[in-house]
Amino acid sequence: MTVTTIKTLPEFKDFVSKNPKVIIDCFAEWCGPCKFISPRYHAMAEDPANAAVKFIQIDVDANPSLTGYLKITAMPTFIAFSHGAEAQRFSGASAEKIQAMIASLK
Amino acid sequence: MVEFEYDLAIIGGGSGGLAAASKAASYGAKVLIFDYVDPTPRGITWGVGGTCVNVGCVPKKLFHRAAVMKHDMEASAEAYGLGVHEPTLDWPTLQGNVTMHIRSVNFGYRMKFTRESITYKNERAKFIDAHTLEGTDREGNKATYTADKVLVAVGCRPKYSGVPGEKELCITSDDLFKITEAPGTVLVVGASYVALECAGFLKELGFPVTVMIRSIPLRGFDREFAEAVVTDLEKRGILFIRGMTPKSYEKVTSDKEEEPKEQVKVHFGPSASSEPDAEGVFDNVLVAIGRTPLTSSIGLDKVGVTVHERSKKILTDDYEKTCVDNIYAIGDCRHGVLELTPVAIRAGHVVSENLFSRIPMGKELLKVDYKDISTTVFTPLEYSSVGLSEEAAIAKYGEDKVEVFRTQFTPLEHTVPHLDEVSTVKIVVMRTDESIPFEKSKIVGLHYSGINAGEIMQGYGVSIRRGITKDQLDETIGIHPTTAEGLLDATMAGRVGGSFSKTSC
Repeated sequence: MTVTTIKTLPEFKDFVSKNPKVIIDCFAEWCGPCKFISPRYHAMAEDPANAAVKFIQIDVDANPSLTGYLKITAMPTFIAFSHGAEAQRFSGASAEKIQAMIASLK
Repeated sequence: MVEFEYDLAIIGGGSGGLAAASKAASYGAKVLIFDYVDPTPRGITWGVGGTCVNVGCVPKKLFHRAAVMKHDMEASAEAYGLGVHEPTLDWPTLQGNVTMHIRSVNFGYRMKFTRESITYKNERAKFIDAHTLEGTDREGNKATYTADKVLVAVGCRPKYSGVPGEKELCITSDDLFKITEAPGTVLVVGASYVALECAGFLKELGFPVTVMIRSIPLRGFDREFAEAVVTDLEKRGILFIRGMTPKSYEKVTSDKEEEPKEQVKVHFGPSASSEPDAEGVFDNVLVAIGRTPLTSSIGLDKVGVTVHERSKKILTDDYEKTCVDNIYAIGDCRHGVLELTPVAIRAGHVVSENLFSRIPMGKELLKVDYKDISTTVFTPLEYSSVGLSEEAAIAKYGEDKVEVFRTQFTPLEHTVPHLDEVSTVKIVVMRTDESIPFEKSKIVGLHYSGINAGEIMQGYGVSIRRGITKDQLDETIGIHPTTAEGLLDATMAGRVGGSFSKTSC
């Protein structure tokens, strides 16, 4: 599955209410580590083994209210939502940590 | 007692406003800050941080850095055994990476507001009354806010002369760092440090540059050094057209290359005349003839805040207070102060300290000391100074009380590649009494041109502000080998016209 871009707070709330396993990449266009991790994140999204999890991405500059709601202060930040509630998060461009987060959601 | 929503409302999220906001919040004040950028005629806009962060000091210094690096590679690298093939500039990479940094700073400020509990509104604010502000967002929605104290820190934007075609066809410093395509051939109109700094880095980065000056370059700076900066720019290949101003601009399509491109034709002539007698065609025209304060549409007249008749900047007392008791003004929009970021920052801190730090009764309020502020012009030949120019010192104290010491030398870095780019120092001293030798007199002005001018002057600026004398400077033991130590060696007395050269050691 491809990575879905979420642009607004209502869109986000709707998405996590409808999808029980969601992983979020919060990035900024000007953030070096984000650019580094992005292809790996997209590859994990495309991996059929991860089909049970929905992958989304949020540009922190695009919507300050969404960024504020999720309390993002550093990029990249990856958040796991399980059944509509935040399960865990970490900041930093670590592919291993993303894999671990995906595994914990499945 | 009336309850206001906020202890302090600040109009303007630039250097001054941001400093005042954080300082006030640190003392527990409830702070509201407005920041809003009216797009340029080209539609360019930017995030919170003000001119310095977005379209001033920060991108300017980074573009200047790129220019200096390119020059070092071209002029020096080979002699040091470094193989650097002709360095070429990729404008999109430079502009893109600088922009990415600026955007991270914009984001950082928004995070700071959250961390420091400062309310930030991206709205155009204006006064309804002395304690009430109306903010309008980009969609036109309005909201009202009340505050006990209000600080106006709206800054300035580039000035236009008003000749036909100017706004439609020319760009300003507000646009220059945001355009994504290389600027091509450029005419810079203006003699300010903005004009000369931009002209300098554009030329060094590889673009043909012409500069048109109405009268004198760098008004207000030491004449000798201002002319030296211009001479250096000419040596680097910039064509100067002096004593002329543009009378009108028109769009033309060039037919010279395979792909027709749009260019700007400038009709210009002598400054005093209204008729053009010459023309030129450029890919871009950068108008940098000064800056105008954003004081006209924020409702100052409604609340009775007065502005200076000529500058249109807000009049305040020594504590940045306007004639309205709860309204203050700082930074570029405040009359009588240098348009510099550190000046605005210091004023922002002082206003908030005085208002919110619970200074004990009887203790004097803080005042910003606007004297002896070090500054640097970041042209390819960098020029930094603190205190008075030679002319200003003579005008202020009289010729017989003022003396000048000079030196000029080649920095060690330039010896190996045999560069004739030199460092020049001028020390202006003043004696109150004939019995005091000039060598022991107070330094009232220090001027330096050469490499690393900003870095060098900062330290000296601290001591000049404290009123050191020439001999106190001379007895300081230098750091070797540096260029900075060269300022300790200005031994030759003599006014303008005196010789600079010193025999090598």
